[in-house]
Amino acid sequence: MSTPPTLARRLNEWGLLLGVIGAVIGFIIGFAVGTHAIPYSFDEDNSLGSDPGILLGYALSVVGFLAGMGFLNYPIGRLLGAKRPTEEDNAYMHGEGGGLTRYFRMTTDHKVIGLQYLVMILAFLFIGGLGAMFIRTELLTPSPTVANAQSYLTLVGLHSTLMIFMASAAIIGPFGNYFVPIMIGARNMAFPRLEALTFWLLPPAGLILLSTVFLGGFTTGWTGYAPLADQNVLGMDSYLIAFALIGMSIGLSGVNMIATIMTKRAPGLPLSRMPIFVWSVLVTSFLGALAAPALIAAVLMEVFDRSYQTTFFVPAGGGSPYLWENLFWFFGHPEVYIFVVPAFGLVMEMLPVFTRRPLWGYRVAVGGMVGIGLLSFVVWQHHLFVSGLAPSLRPFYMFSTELISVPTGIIYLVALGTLWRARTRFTVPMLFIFGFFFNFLIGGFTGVFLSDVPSDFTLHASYFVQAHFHYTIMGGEVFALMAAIVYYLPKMTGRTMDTKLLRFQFWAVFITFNGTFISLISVGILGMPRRVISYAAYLQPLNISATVFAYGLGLSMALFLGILLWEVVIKQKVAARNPWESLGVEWQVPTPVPLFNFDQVPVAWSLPYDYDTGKPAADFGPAVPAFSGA
Amino acid sequence: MRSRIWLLVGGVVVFGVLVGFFVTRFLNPVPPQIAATTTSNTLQGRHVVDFNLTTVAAVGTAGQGNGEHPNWVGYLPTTYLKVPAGAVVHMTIDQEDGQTGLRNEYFGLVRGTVNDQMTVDGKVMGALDPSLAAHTFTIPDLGVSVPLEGVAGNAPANAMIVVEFNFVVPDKPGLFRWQCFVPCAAGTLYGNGGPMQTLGYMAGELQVG
Amino acid sequence: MSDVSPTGLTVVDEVEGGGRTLIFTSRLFMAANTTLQLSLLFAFLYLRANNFGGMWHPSGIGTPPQVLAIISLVFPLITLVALWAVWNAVGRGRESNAVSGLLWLALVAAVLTGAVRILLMYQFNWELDSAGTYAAISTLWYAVLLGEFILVGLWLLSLVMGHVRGTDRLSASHARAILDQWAYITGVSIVVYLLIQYIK
Repeated sequence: MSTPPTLARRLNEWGLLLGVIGAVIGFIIGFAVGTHAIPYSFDEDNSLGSDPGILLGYALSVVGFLAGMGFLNYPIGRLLGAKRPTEEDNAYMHGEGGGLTRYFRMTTDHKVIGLQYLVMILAFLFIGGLGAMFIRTELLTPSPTVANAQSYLTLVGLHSTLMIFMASAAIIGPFGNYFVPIMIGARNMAFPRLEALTFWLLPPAGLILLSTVFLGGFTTGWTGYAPLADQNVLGMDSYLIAFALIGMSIGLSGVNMIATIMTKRAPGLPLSRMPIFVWSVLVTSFLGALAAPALIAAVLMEVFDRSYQTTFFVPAGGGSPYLWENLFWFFGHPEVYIFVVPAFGLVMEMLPVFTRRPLWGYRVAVGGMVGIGLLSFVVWQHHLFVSGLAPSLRPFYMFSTELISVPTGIIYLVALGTLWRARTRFTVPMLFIFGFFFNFLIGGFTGVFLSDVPSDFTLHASYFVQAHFHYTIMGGEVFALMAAIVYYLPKMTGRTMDTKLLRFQFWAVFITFNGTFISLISVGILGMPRRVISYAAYLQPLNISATVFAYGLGLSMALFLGILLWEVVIKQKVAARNPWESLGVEWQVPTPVPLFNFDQVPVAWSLPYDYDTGKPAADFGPAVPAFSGA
Repeated sequence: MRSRIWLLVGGVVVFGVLVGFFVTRFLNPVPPQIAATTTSNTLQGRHVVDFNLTTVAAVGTAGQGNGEHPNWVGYLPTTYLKVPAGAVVHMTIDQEDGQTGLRNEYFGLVRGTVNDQMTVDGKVMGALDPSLAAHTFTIPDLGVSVPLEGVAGNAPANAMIVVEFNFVVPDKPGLFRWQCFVPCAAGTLYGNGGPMQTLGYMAGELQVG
Repeated sequence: MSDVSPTGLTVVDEVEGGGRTLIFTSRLFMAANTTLQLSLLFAFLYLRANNFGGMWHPSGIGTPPQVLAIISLVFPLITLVALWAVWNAVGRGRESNAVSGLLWLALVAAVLTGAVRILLMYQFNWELDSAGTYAAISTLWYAVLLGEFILVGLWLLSLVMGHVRGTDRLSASHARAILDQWAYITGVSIVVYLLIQYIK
């Protein structure tokens, strides 16, 4: 293509820089307007500014960032009735001939966005992990040493919220975006610009959250309970805006994924033959699209409380903190299945490859995931058993929560059925899958105790709860994430990180993880509450054990990152085309994947698990002309 | 390959510097600590040490504390105190803040001080009318709680009430959190925001040893 | 070039979202929006039942001005009828002048909708920090609806501009998608109006 680049394209190349400039301008305007235009009486003397100023400043800085990135070019063009972008424009936006720079600008290629997500997720994981190291260091002694009570609580809030951001996109973000269109034979997502938007909302969200430190922090943890959230200093505003952005990202990503899966499947690919991972993404996307708006409603109310001084969550003004708790957990509980359902999908996607046999009970597994999705909307009050809310409702929520272990158990059995009498290949991803199942089992069992009202009364808000969800999210989802990174890296980057050292890394991370959290289960049963900087002296030995293991865990996670960087960025060892001998269609297309995924029409689809006969997922029909711009 | 390694190392260094900046910013907000003034007096066979604190209202005290102190109600000069182990602390608090009243009248009792008593403007007292209190000086782990009488609304400018009391600190070193038990943060929700939850204003630490 | 693609859609469809995708997604957004509206409804009923200290509806707090509130529902209905006519006409392949006229009508009514609703919110005259939770949730809800009217209104504007300037002729699926969306929001705002006016 020899046409000179247009102005819009030149600006797009500098999108990141323009975005930062836009963010600064947006913040200044928002801060000025918010400070002076909204009548406000709380905290008048605070030298850092007022809540309306900070809130509006953050909101407009995000708008400015997106405008600078070029997200407004297309909508403004439509509003002015300009010509639609040509195919050439679209191919450019898709990153045609972009090289490395396309990873630093707004592109509409789902493969680029998948890799952007991967880097972002790992960065969040790393920063959140550093926070965990600080927390464990502080808890070496029963009294405050490294931090004071307030900065400790902010630290806990930052670690948890950042990890929640990470976990809600850890599987869907990189692997959902990269592989779902390929797995269903689509050339692109249904709404590629929307997809880019869901990614580019994350970096501002992360930075805004971290900036809370400069505004005094927030002491509520990731749940942001009222009325503490109403009383908190300006740092709370960072949490609110950041969480709203994440909620929007989850919701929009959900809508886009559902639309893609439901309307853009290749001819000849019915729902009943979709890879199991696509099913898990579909279920998760419904959870995201239908649950996230409840969070946004709650955040809007809190924003009103903090800026217009309404009293949604303030009893003296007629409100109720329970309102926040209900709305938050109506989002919050489906959210935890947003973490774990795609992890299950990925694990079941990889299992047949390493056991060399079809996925046992495919339809049952799909049913299980749909069951989890449906039930997850009617369990949220189990977070509020001890809050004093309507005791007569407790049996129902106890029952529905315990019921959800049935579809989860079904998925578990499907995996075990696949493993039964299989000649399993113990590759590195398979090791992580075994780790996943081991950890998730403990996570699941501890969950049953928490769903039970009487035992929840003693265990609520203790380290038992903390260890429970770390077993499911870190032991479950993050182990699946590591398995998937090793498994899919050859496809996504053309490089491999499968080395002997990685086997050592697996055992290191597995042992230290369990050492850390078995210690924490124990201190939880002994009565140590969450989110406290000081604890009873008799709990110190177990806390030291947890901290020592946690350091090992941190080092072994850093080792994973180190191996990844070393093998991919420095050694650049070229991977085999299909190193795991998978039958999935994603391994049938060439590496690197063509710009629009398919040079030939994929036809005659079957389930990609037919290892008895070795038949690949799709046959390829006639060639499709690539985008030529002609 | 060498250039790639340097690139990676450079990236790691830049990232590390950023994280270091962030962390130092983060771990720093502990306000300055003052040590007790030692005296030659003894009480009950222990050394007596002196503290002199001032409580100030939110309004009209801008600039106190060298600008480190936003215009909030607070204990000056700081709430981070250090005393030798096993000493008797003789605390003098110049109370310049107005009356807020106690939400829990029980806190009107003087507890945990020597003889469960305090001296208000020279008068020995064992309890305070709950409606007159402005703040309390409370160290839960030592059982110390002293209500501080507020300046009346019609008092002349710069009036203050001097409260004195003695309490014994443990013989072993330790860190004890103390705070005001009157939700006195005017202008925030239930009086519990801002200065009540930001260390250095209405809460602090007593380091023993 | 040939527009054949593996999915059987044209290249432009691939990037822009084809007709079926558009209608489907418009309904997905309605589903997500339903959660938002139900959350607000939950808050409304919860706060009403809660009524700590009689602060749901303290004395002296009225309802939104009736006349303006009703006018703010008439204009979206005009837009709705116009959009329905557009969809009908486009679906039957009518010539484009009538469609343009109807689109302009829909757009003007949509702009007036936004203007009236902004005016309405200025007329609430509630001191939010002391007006109780009825005023708070009503204001928030009207603000959310205003935001949604503005977003869909901008979408409508883009369709009108593309159609009028001839750069992007309105397709039946576009007409249907925006008709669905506008009908949904109009329906919700009627329900919200009744709720706020009569369940106070």
